[in-house]
Amino acid sequence: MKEKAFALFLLALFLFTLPLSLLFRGVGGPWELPPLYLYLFGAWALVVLLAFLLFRRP
Amino acid sequence: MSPWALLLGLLLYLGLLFLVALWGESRPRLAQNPWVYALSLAVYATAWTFLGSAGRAATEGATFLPIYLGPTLVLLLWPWLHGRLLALARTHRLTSWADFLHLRYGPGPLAPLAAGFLVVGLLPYLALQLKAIAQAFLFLSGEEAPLADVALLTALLLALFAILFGTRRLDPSERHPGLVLAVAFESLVKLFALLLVGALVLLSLGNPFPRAQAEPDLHPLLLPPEGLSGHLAWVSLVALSSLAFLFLPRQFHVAVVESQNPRHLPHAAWAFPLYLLLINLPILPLALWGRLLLPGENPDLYVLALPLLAGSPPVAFLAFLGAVSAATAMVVVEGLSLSILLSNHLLSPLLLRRRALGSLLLWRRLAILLVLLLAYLYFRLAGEAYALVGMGLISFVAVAQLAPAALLGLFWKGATGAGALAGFLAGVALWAYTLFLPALARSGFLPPLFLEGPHPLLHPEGLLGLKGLDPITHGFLVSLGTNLALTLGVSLFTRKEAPLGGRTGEVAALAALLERILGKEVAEAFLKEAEGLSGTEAALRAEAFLSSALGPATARLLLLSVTEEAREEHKPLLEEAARESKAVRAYAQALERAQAELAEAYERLKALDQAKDELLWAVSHELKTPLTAVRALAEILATHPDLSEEERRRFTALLAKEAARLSRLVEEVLRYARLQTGPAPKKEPTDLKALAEEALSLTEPLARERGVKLEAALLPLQADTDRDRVLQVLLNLLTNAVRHAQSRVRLELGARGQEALFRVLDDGPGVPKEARERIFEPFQSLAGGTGLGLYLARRLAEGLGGRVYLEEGEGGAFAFTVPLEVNHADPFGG
Repeated sequence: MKEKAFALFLLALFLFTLPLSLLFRGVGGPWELPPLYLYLFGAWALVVLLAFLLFRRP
Repeated sequence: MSPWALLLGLLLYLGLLFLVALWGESRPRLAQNPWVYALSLAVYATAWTFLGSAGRAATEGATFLPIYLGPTLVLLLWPWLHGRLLALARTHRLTSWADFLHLRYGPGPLAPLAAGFLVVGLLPYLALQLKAIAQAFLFLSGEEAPLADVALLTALLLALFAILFGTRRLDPSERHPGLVLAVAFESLVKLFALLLVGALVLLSLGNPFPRAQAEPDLHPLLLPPEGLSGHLAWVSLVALSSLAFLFLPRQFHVAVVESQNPRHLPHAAWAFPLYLLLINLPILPLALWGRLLLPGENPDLYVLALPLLAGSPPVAFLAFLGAVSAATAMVVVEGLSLSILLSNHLLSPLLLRRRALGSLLLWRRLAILLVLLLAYLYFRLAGEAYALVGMGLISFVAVAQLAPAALLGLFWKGATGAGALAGFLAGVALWAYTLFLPALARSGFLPPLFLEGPHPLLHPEGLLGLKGLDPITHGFLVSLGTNLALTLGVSLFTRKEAPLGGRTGEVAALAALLERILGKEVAEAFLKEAEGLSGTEAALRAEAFLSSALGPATARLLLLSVTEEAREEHKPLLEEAARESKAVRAYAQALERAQAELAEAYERLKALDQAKDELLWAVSHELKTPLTAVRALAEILATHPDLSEEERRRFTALLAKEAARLSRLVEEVLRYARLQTGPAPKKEPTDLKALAEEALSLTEPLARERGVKLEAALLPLQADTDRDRVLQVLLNLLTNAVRHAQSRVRLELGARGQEALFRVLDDGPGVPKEARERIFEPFQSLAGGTGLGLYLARRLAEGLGGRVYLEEGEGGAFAFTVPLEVNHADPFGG
């Protein structure tokens, strides 16, 4: 459990702090939504989902 | 909206909150729910989140998000951080990080300094909440003034709430289910309100993104922060919010002090980040519509203004209640936790000196009122100034100064009190120089010249010539970096600190002290816990009880009267003994176990030896009888040649019979010898039903000869066992039964628990009561056999991990078990 939680922490740290300005230079994206926010909320939702799968049975 | 209607709504909502808290107090089990725990953590989301996030998104773009990404990261680390912290808090009844610093680094100025600094550093943050409520109230009522009056009324009501539900008893480590339930309820209200506002605005005004993309002015809001400094600011905000989530006093209170069950943590680790994600979903659309449609409005009020613009005053009122919820939860819990800090680390020692400790509960209640009145005063003094607006993040950086001493103290044995103090003082000084004082200068409380600094290298917002960083990132990196470096560095140079003195005392005297200070209930609880503890351990437990109620420094002072210092010359020995006592106890227990096993084995060996002697005697005795008969018969035949043919035939038949008996005896003895020296059973998957059928068919000729009918009731069973030995036992039992039966023998096979059970039943006279006990001993035959059959059967069965025994009842009924999962294979059954 500890190792998996730490691995998830590292993944989340990478997803949340990578140099976003190098990746998202445009304001328009799919469904007319800004790609920066699509990425941030998508990465966040992914981390929450993985945390749910990992921690739902302690 | 009418101000009176709005005020009535506000009062009704606060009344509802009181009812929820009362309900929680009367049903404490309601708070023992993982969802309530996760929602109570959402006290993190204050009015700053509810109103300020849209404001920040409207001016700074995506940088409103790292404030919520940080807590998500921290919760993923709960198996290390919170698990350890909860265990410590339960053992030592910690009520704050300052208590932990005292516990970890011992008595000294660090804990009181940290407590005082937190109170000062967080007052502006509290003021911000009061202002948010007042501002929202005035905005919706359309009034300009008096802003301060609404803020004062709110502060007084919230102080009353915190006093009623947070200070019912002296022990602050005691849980407050009503308060927790009210906070969880408020978390639901603010989430629901913000999602409803977002949905209403999207439904009535439409999608703001296409219009925002058409407006170049709004593009910076849709793009990430630019350049290295922008990236650094982003990463710093993530780190800063992580630390703030961990070290804000209100978070410690709800996450640790109010924690009912450590198993709620894994649930909170995904549920609380999900909450934060949901509450942030509507922020950007609201910010963009605010920028597009309300260009002259204060961005912090977009959440209230947009529902009004969409023509829905009830939703605007609900948004107001959401903002009130966010602010009240924060103010109540933060006010309570700051009052505990104040009373435990600053007030208690003063009251003890004045012999007025009995009034501590009153003082704690007054401390709550004082904290909220000070927050109100700060709001009145700072007003609309920069110091108030920017204080959210500045308070976060202040709180983060606890991190090096606390986190290193939690995980690194080498951290010392001197290192922690040096790092903390330097961090606080740099926080004040780079963030707090410049904020005051911008507010007009200090001359603007201060912002230039005495030297270019000492520029408050660009130390050592650093340029391009925003003030928060700069202040955070400089203060926390120095703090961490000094904590580490000074600790490395002061590692040989003298160990803290242990104290010891009589349990009865300690209990009397606790009863005098904290009451009979606490003394009784202590007596239960102290049962079987040494004097030193009991003193430590008593200190934990006192510390949670009065603060660690006061607890230490009070203990002086009923305890004594562990003698100096014995200290190293005592410490060593304490460290090793656990290992020694375990070792001694293992020794005792081994000794018992050894004694048991010796007894078994003695019994076996004796059994062998007895067997030898019995074998010799049994062999002697037929041998004597054979010799006598042979002599008669040899010395009497004149015997008649009939007599000669009779003697020859007797001779053959005795020789056959002799042969059977020798055969059984040889089988016994093979059993003693033979190889271990060979376990293999065996079909027990087929084996039983084979045993029946082998017994069939004997049964036919004696006119006995064989019956069977066999269930299909498989076992991992030695096929030949099981067959041998079955044959022994069946042959025995056939010999004694009158008309029939029945063999049954079934499962019982983890065993296969064979039963061999016959309709014979059964075993007489007096013979039942010795039926399994060697040479105990009831039917003139060798008397070794049952003895061998029992030994064989025990070697397979099973048993053979005689059942109660009429007739002969022998049972034989074989384990279905054999783990042990002692060839001699023991």
